[in-house]
Amino acid sequence: MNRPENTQIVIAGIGGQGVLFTSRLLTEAARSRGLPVIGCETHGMSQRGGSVAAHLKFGAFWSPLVADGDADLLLGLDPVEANRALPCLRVTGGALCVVNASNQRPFPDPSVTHLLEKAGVGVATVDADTLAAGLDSPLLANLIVLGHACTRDAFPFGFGEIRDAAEAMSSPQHREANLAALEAGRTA
Amino acid sequence: MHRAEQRVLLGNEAIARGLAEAGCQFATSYPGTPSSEILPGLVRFKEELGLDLYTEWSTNEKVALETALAAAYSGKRTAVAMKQVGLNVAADPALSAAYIGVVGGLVLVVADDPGPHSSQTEQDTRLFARFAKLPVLDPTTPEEAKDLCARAFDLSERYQVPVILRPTLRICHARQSVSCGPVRAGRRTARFEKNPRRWAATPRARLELHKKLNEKLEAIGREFAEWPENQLLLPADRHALGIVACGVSYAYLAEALGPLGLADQVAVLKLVTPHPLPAPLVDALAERCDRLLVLEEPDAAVELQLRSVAPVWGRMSGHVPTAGELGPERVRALVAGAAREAGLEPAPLPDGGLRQASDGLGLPLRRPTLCPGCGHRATFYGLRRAFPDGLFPGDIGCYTLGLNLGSVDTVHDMGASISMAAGFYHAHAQDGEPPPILATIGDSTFYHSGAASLENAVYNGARFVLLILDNEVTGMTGMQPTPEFGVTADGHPGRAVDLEGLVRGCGVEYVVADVDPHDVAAFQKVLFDAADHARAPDGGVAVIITRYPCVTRIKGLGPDRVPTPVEVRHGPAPRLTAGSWDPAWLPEHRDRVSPCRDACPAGSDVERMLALAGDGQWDEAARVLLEAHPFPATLGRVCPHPCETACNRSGLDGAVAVHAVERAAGDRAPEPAPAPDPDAGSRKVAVVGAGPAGLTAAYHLARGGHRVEVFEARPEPGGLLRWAIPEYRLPADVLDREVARVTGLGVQIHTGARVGEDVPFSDLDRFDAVLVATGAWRERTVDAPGFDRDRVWPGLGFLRRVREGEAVDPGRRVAVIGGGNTAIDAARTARRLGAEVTVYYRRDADRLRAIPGEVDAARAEGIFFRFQVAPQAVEAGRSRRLALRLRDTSQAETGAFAVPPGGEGPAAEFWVEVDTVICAVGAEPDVPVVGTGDGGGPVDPWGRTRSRRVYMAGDAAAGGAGTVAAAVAAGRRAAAAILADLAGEPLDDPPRDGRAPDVPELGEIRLHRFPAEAPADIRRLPPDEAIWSFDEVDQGLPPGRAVREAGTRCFHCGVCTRCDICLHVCPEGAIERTEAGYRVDPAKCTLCRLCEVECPRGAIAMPATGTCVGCGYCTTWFECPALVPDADGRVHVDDRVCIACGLCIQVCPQGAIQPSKKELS
Repeated sequence: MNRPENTQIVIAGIGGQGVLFTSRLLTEAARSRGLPVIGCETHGMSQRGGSVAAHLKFGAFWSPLVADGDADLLLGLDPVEANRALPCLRVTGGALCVVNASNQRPFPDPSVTHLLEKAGVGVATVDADTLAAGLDSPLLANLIVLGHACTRDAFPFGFGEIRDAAEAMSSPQHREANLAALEAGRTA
Repeated sequence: MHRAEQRVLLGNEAIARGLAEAGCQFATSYPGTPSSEILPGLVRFKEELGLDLYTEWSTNEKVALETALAAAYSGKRTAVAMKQVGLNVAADPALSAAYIGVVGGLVLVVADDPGPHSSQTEQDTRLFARFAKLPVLDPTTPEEAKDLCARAFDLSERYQVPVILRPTLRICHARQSVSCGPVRAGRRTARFEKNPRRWAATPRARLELHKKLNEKLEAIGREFAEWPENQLLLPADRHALGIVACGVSYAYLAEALGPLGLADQVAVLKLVTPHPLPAPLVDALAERCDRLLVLEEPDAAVELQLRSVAPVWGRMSGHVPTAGELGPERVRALVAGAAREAGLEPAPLPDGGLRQASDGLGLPLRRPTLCPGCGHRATFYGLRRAFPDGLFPGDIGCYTLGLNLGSVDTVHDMGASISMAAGFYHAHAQDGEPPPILATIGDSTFYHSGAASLENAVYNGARFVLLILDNEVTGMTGMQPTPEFGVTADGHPGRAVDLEGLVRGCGVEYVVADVDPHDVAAFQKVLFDAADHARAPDGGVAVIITRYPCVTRIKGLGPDRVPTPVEVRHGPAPRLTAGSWDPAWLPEHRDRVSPCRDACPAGSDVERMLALAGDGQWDEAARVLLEAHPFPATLGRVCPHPCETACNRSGLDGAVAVHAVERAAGDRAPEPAPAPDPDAGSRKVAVVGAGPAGLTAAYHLARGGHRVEVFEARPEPGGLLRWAIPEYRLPADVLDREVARVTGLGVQIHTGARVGEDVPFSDLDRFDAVLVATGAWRERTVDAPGFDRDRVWPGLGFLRRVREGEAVDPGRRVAVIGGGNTAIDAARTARRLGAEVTVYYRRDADRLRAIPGEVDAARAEGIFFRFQVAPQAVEAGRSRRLALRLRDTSQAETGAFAVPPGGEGPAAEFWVEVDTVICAVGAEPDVPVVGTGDGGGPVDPWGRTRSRRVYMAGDAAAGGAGTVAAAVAAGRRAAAAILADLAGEPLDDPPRDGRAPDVPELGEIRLHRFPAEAPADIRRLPPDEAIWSFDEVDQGLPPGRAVREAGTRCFHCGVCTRCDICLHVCPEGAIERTEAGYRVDPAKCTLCRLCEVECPRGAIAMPATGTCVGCGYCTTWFECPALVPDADGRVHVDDRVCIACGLCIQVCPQGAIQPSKKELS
């Protein structure tokens, strides 16, 4: 049984990768469980092609931001941005990061691998860009990462919850492609 | 009763919900991060809850607040939303509103941006509130912000004062579960109660209002102490440290105290009312604490007020950084540090070293950039490319990012681009010519505050180009509508305010609207023209409105544009390091043969002549012409000017009027050099015939150092220039001056000396060489009955008799047969002798061989033309002396049986009664020459004959009437051959036949770099005046106009004019000027090839590789996120972000970016 209560999440990517949509899917999943949600988004100038991060916290929190060392889950839609967001991860064991990476764009950087091991951070990577290109939907790498995250025990939701949230949040013309991307991530 | 419902809302939506639930009936706003989502939130809840709520996007914040104040005066609950910098714009009404107050509650939501993330300043609205003497609320979370809305309305109405709600970005853009409740009942109707002493208070009354405001603030401060949102936590009797935390800082603190183990040790005041301070609470805290730490953003609004109450640590004391956002990590560290300094022992926090490791990775900083496919990129790219040295005042919006592309130099405040462009202009104009100034402003920003600046700029005579970038929305802040489209905040139709009309209303006369910048060259042309207007004597501010939809709003290119997927070609490229290029790849400035020069039969360097004339150097221009021949003033009048036919400018707006410039140069040609000693020549050459060919040859031979004697059969030199070309085309004195130029060189002309008659052939034996240039004077006639009659005259003979001064009377009606120049000359001459003239020609009008301008002039002078008629016979006439019988061939097909024998053919034959028939159907040489080639002409293009000493040139050699220019060219060639043969030197290059290789074609000319300018109007005698005399019809150009024609209209195709454009456009500064021209520094050149592409006239040679050379040009100056550099600097297309706008194809000067064959998914 997944336990989303008191979970803190960071989603890191670049403008246009769907960081906000990913954040809203997770919010919807938490809302379905009746959990209070607080988080923070990037708007305005910073959205224009720059680094974009969303923070999400489920449970009784005051601050919308995840402080360094507090994140239970890091979803990296881009390996560089995932490296940039590394400090958010909890180092007391059990945190998870799931990153869109490939041989050409590897994650994690070799210099931090031992730190992540020592901190008990689970690392999963998925070549979401290639998979997305295969689906003819280069913009859906975010949902492939999310689908892949669902396969990990430390992920706070079950795949079904995420799929339901995607059904609820997708516009009709994108619903099928979104669900296919989640499924591709799950089976990757 | 509405049940409370939990919803996850953005902070700004929570505020909107709070305002709606509190009974807000009237809301105005101007979008600005981080406040932009408040008004859309109100629209959303208005529709969801069916509220009677007026919502408007105002044109700016001042307008928004003033509009809202009136609603509040009328008793309605009213809200205004803006960002902190917007409050500066609204400062004037805000300060006054504090004194005068409101009736219905007015909540002014002003969002601050600590960081700053999306703003020009980190200003603190709480300090503004203190300055304005307005109460201000500082919410801790979105949920609290929502709850404070109702309190704010209530407070505002009870004290009749506007209340500021000041969320920070971390509230506005936080998302939180909030409980949504019912909407407060009690709709109010507008009722404005007149009270001039309040609503229009005079200064004296304002003093009373000020006093009253101070009393209100004191009372409000006391009331704030009772508010449950203000919480004082005193875990002990005495505390070494008390912390005052405001807004989101309290949220960070609340999560930090537990992990630091300080929750039971420090006193905390959660403060949501920074002004006026709740004195009782502050005093209670200060009494129980040794010192206070203040956590607040972005400035020291509370700390400032507490310094008199207790020892305070904060931004002013240096314990907290004096600028920047706090954030949870900083708050943790500040609290731990302060606790330690106060003697407490905070718990250490686990550190896995990830921060240090991440910082150590040297990750690239991703700066914000314009979206892929954004039309602004096209605008800014074009700007920079057109004006690499431009001065670019910019403005506030997405398009601020034009600074990445090098075409935004200043970003100050809303609308400042225009005022600053004016300021830059006036400041530079004080010292001389200002640089090109091109300001950019978005459509929404222009509506916001551009008009006043534009009026000012126009009024005060500033000169610059203003580009209004119209993407149909306020893009940066979330696609809010602008007044241009007349859709209001809630989607209802308003009334559109026409942008172009607004600009014209500001007094701008030069407006180019609906410009699409996606054709780079065409857009540059628009920019150049506008800049020309700004500089012109009668010019001023020029406005260009570029228009394209926001690609993010319409999620793609839109229906008007064809998606063009692209790929970057990677082939074998030159080595990828600047400084080690193969020199063959580098740009090279070189001069080519221009089309005019190539086309000139006389071999004049027309381009060089135009360059000098355009510079006003008439002597030098004439010298260039005199290099080729002695007849510039003549050829400027009579040459058909193949140079103008070849002129590339005819592809823009009409060929350069070369003939008029040549004539002007010829008329100003310097006096001939003094005659050298006629006996000094080393060898002797005879020239037979003093026409254009003979005299040109004599001229060159004399210049070559030989003694030349010319034998001319007629009483005066000139040949057909004197005897066949009428004086209204070539006045005798012009010709005399040019002949004098030849004799001035020592050439002896024996007139009245027909060789073989007046001079025996044997006389020529004393010469080392003899040139036969006797022309073509034997006239052909029509081979038909009656053409030997008395009044049937040969054309050349007729013209000659007139020029000899004979009183020739052709009678009242004249028929001219022929379609060449002689026919037209004869017709116009006969007209001047009082005749009605018709020209009969056997072919179509478009096959007339005469110079078209002459034909036009003939028609204008009342000469009739009849085409496709064949002369059949001349007979005795009835009413006139002659009847000319003609056959109409226009109906007949070619071929023997076109008209069936005995069939119903057209009545093809007709006759005309005339007094004279003039036959101008051609002429041929009349002097046989010993040793000529098989056809009676020379044996090589140089004019050599079978006889070693004898040469031929001109019509005599060509076998018939050619042009004067051809005769001149032949004379020059023959002279060259004679000079070489006499010197015993070989002649290397045979005269060229056809076009020179590598003549620049129209496609190589960057037409957009040349302002349109119609050809000069040649002054001419009016036809009805011209026909009464032999005065020269063509009056040429005044000197100034001729300079302009040459100076501004000539492209100088293929010839470097040292215009410096290459030097300016080179992004690397790799081109420098040298004495001889330019030098390219191979160490700096990155091979981008922009210089070649931007050279206006094809004077730079640089091969296009068609493959990416990793020059970095596109990634630096186009900066599309979809063009990603690889490790070696070469670029590939990121298909995830590319939206196939295709613009980069025009950007890569190497031609490496090409349409791809990939299908768009």
